[in-house]
Amino acid sequence: MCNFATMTRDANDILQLAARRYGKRLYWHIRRLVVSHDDAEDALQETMIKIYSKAGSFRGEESALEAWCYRIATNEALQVIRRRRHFMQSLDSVGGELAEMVASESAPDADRTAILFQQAIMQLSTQQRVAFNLRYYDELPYAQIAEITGKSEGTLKTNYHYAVEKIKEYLKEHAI
Amino acid sequence: MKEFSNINTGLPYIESEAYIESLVERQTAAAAEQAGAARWQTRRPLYYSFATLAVATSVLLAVLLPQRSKSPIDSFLASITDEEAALIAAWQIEDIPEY
Repeated sequence: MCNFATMTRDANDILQLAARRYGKRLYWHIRRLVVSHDDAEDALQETMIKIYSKAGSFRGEESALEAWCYRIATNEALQVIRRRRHFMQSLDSVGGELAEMVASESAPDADRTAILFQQAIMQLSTQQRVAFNLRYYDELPYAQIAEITGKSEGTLKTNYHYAVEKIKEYLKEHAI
Repeated sequence: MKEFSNINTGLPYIESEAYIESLVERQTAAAAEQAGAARWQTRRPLYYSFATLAVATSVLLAVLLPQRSKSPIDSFLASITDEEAALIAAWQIEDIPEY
C-alpha cells in the first residue's frame, strides 16, 4: 500500500496513484460532460498529461488529490465543449448539440429513459451540469465540489436544486 | 440519490468497465511518455544553445590561443640574429661516443 505522506512526490508516482484511484471515475465524469467517447478519450489523455506535468506544483495532502484531479478533468472536458462552440456562442448553447449526440452515442439497446435522462442533463447550464453530475453521480460532498469548481457551497446547492427541478420538468414534458 | 430513484439514470453508453480500465492504463503510460517527450522538446533549445556555445568557444580559442601562447623558446629564437644563433649552435654539446 502506498503511503502518500512518505511517498516521494515524483510526477510519475502521483500520476500512477491518481490513475489507479480515480482514473475510471475521471473518464466517466468527462464522458458525462462531453458525451462523445472520442472526445472523452482525448480529454482524459490531456488530464493525465496535466496531472503528470503539474504534479510538481501539487502541494496538497492525499485528500486534496481527488479534487485536484477532478478540477483538471473538468477543465479539460470544458475545453472540449468550448471547441464545439460556434463563433460568439456561449458555452451553454452547446447543450442542444450534446443532447443530440447522446442518442447517437448510446448503445442500440439502451434504455430510452436513460437516454432521456442524459438529454435532460444536457439542457442544463454548464455550471448546473457540472454541479449536478459531481453531486448525483460521483456523490461528492459540496465542500469538495466547491474545491473543484471554485464556487461557493451555497451556489452549488442552488445549482443542484435548480438542476433537479429542470430535469424533472424535462422528463415530465417527455412523458416519463 | 433519492430524487430519481424511480427511473433508470444509468449511462446509456456501450463501453464496459473493463474497457475503460484498460483505456486508463494505456493513457497513463502514454501520458508519462508524452510528458517526458514534451519536457525534452521544451528543453531542447536550451541544450542546443549550450552545445552551440561550447563549439563556438572551442573554435574561438583554437583561433586565438596560438597567437597568445607562443612558447618562450620560439619567442627567444625569433628575437636573435642568425649570427647569434650560429654562436649558440657552436655551444651545442656533441654526442658522447659510446665507450
